[in-house]
Amino acid sequence: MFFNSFVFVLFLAVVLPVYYGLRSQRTRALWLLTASYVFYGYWDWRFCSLLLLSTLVDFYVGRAVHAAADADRRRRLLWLSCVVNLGILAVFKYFNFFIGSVQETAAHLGWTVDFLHLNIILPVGISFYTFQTMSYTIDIYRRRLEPTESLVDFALFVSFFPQLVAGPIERARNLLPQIARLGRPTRTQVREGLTLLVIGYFKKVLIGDAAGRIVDQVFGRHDLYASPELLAALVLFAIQIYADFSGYSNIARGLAKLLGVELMKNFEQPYLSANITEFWRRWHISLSSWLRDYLYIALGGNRRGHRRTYVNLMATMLLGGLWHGAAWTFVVWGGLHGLYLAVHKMLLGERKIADRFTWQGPGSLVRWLAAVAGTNLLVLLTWLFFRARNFDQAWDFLTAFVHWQGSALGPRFAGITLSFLAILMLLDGLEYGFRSHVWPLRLPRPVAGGLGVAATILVVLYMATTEPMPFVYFQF
Amino acid sequence: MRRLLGMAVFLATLVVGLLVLDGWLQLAEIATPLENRADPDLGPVYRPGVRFSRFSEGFFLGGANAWGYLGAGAPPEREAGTYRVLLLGDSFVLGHTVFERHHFKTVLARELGRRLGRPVEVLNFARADYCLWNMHQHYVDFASRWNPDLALFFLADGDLAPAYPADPQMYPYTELVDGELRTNDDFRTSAKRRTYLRLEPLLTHLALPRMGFNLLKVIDTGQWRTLLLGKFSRRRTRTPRPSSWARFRALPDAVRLAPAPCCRR
Repeated sequence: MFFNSFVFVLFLAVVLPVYYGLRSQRTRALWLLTASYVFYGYWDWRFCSLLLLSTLVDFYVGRAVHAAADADRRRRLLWLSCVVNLGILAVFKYFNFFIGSVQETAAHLGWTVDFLHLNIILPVGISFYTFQTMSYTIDIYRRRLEPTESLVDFALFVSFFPQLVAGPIERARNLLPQIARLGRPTRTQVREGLTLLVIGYFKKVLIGDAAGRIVDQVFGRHDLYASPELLAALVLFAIQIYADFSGYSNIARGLAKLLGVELMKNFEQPYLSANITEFWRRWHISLSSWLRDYLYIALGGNRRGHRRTYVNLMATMLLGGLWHGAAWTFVVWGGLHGLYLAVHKMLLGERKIADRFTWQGPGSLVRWLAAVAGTNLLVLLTWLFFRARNFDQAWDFLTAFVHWQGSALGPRFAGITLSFLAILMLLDGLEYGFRSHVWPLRLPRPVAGGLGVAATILVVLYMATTEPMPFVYFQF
Repeated sequence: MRRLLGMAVFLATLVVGLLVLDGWLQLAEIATPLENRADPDLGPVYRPGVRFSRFSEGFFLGGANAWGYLGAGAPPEREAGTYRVLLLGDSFVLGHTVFERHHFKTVLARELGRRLGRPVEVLNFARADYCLWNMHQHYVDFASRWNPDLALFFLADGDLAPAYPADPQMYPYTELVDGELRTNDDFRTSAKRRTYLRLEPLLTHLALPRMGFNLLKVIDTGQWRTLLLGKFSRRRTRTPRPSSWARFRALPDAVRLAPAPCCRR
């Protein structure tokens, strides 16, 4: 079920009171596990079997890896976990893509190749929980983690409903100990949780979904639209994907707090980054840190000379692109980011980047704003490949930008786009300024309450009168 | 005293917050105020110059002109040498699903102009939910002032029998009584209409009350069950309504073959 549906609100209305009423950790974990499977099975109960398979494999392999003294056996067991997890991902997510690519290449060479095409649905959130379970076994293999003795705790770690289908991709080191001592939330957690929920729903529903309505229409029939309208749609997509995903992450963190659990932050105002390296420290943090820890470093990271570092960066980002979706457009998206990162690293040399803007006179602000604008332009280009149906569509957009043709509706599209941009930048600016995702709690209580109720009224009215849009990242 | 002050600040922030957010909703065109006003004689008519957007069955960004019909428009007085066509129909013709530049009226004006070798204006006087009778009355009461060379009435299967509007408490509507079509004017005294008239300034300037009205519709039509219960809501089977054609055939000859409608709208 979607977070932005009233069914989910009803679901919470049952889950939370029962959870608060239970006394022992074991019954709480069992209750949350049941709720998580109901939450996931609402889409299609058959998906639960994959979740269970992934859980059982990594639970028992993790224990076996820990118990094995022989290095070879440990490695073989790790391979077993990787093969099962990546095998599931390969079959459900990438099989048809690879077969299609081979067939297309063969057709270009004049050969006819007729392979099997699997008629299967991509299970929701499969990439997220696969990476999460894999990190558990890899951490045990690297002797950074002790396996858990409780199958229930581990199953809950894999299926914890607030972050099951679109992250944050949690590490066992953070989540498992919290599951092992599940309890009621503190008063601070409840206040922070509710604040995150209101901000998250506002971002997801009123910014993400509302911008997405225009994006879907324009990308659905781009040939009907003029240059300014296509540009507006691309900027709106950049707004949509951020509002949608960061809104989801806020909701996930807020829900977890209501259950007394702290999840990692996934976004830190990425569109206020002054360079691409900073962008990747602020965008989808749980995935970028996963890729860094389990792929980039495994490939050698930056320890094997400059050239190898650039190759590693590129390989990591290409695979990161493919993780998002089974299409070559995602590979190009990852490739462009890999290229940007490599070039930036080359230009940077041994210098370190600043974490955030620091005031050093008006000139510093102008330089920072120019750097932020430049970074966002580079990122905007990559979003085109991320959203486009195929390369033809991306090419049509680029052609329309080069051969610019105005339209009578251009100013209206510009007004809409700037309105969305302004509200998103206002929210991010407040987060950035207060250095907190729960900035309303720093305001006087009646003011925060008034704003919260106003935002909630709007969200409820919008949700009740429009079709809910799925989260963009659910498909990954 | 402190608690009272806190409550006052809370309420003030809530009201100001709602007003600011309402302004943002309108700028971003997420929601717009009511584009119609309920005319007691013409039924729902566009407010002159209103801009609005639609996303339900397509994508529409447009608005009504200064004369109160959809599109760029032209005044009732016609320039010499211009050929003028009026379109009358229901939502099909209205086209709240495409931009004006993609509407068939634009294509028709261009093609006809090319073939006739003189300027052609095609003006869109369609209204959602209008049946044949409503269209005709709309032409007589309003559109005919534009003095067209040609008035095209677009009829689909659903437009032959008298339409029973979703909101009989707001507008006049046609009904069949003892084998005769009559205009029902009961709306004039309805509580809903009185409430509407009181709220009209809010509804036509703010987006939030309009969203509230839409929510009431969701509740009124029973869609709240699906909204609230999702997959768990039981589908209700409805008795199929006879087709418009069947209803048209069932009308008495005197009504069916009448040369002019006998309703007001």
